[in-house]
Amino acid sequence: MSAVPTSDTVTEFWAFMTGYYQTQVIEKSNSVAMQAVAAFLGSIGILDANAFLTSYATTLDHSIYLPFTPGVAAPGWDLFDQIVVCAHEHEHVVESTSLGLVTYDFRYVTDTPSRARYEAEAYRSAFELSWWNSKTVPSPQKVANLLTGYGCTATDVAMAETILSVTAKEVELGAILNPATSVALGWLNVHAAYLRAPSLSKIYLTTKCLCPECDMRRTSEQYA
Amino acid sequence: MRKYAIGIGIASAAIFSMRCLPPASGCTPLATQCTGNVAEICDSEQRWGTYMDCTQIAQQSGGTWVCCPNVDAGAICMPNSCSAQGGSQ
Repeated sequence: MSAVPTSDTVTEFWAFMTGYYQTQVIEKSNSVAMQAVAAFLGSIGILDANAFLTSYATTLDHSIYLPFTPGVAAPGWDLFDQIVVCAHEHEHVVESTSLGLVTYDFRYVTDTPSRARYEAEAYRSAFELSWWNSKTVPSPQKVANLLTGYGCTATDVAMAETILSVTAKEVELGAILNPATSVALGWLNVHAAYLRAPSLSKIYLTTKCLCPECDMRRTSEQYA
Repeated sequence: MRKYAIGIGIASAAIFSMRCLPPASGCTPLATQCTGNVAEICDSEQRWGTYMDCTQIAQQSGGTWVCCPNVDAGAICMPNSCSAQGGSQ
């Protein structure tokens, strides 16, 4: 039985991550821009418009649009899910910063293999955080199948499953793959150690991101 | 006039982005390989794309991580060496 985060932990975690990556959280249902995106995605067959607004968090540049309020459990969004979503969406920020916003967004919208790879990379955060919390990992097949809801082809989904199967093995070997998870674990190990599974490997106990000021410098150098 | 300029800007960005997509290499979709210390997978458009950078894992996880081809599901980063016993737990 894994530990469950408190509402305060989730709220403080989101505050830390948004401060670290200079992002802002916006309520998705009230966003005119998101309603327009929903209509657009629905029209080109990537996602059902209503599902997009209620069942998915979305990141555009440094704005994260959420269908829930961080720290408030909601159907489909329990408190640990909200921690995972935070790392997932911030991994998209890392991806778009690394590749360049225009290139990243254009590939994401127009090229389904790229979309599948970007989502698979972001879903790695769920494997890493699940391992940290419970020493279990999700089913690669089930997570990859979520991409059918993103308009990806069967081959794209199979590619994502391969990436996530390899991810599961690497996480079990103690790897931390995503920069956003590395930052997240730096905070969680200090401020929410009660969530951590007992007898984890040393790597997951002592991530390198315990100093926000140092890491801000490292990140800006890394992605400049 | 302003809308026209924005439209040209978006179209230019789109064309630029299209040109940035890697070219098809004729690889077999879902095949994996190691190129240097990076794991790559062949997508449905027969392009190689990076999915794991073992050097980045080493920076975040500590130790040495090396890319090992054809381990179970595909190319994988493993700690220390490509021996299955090379775990760091």
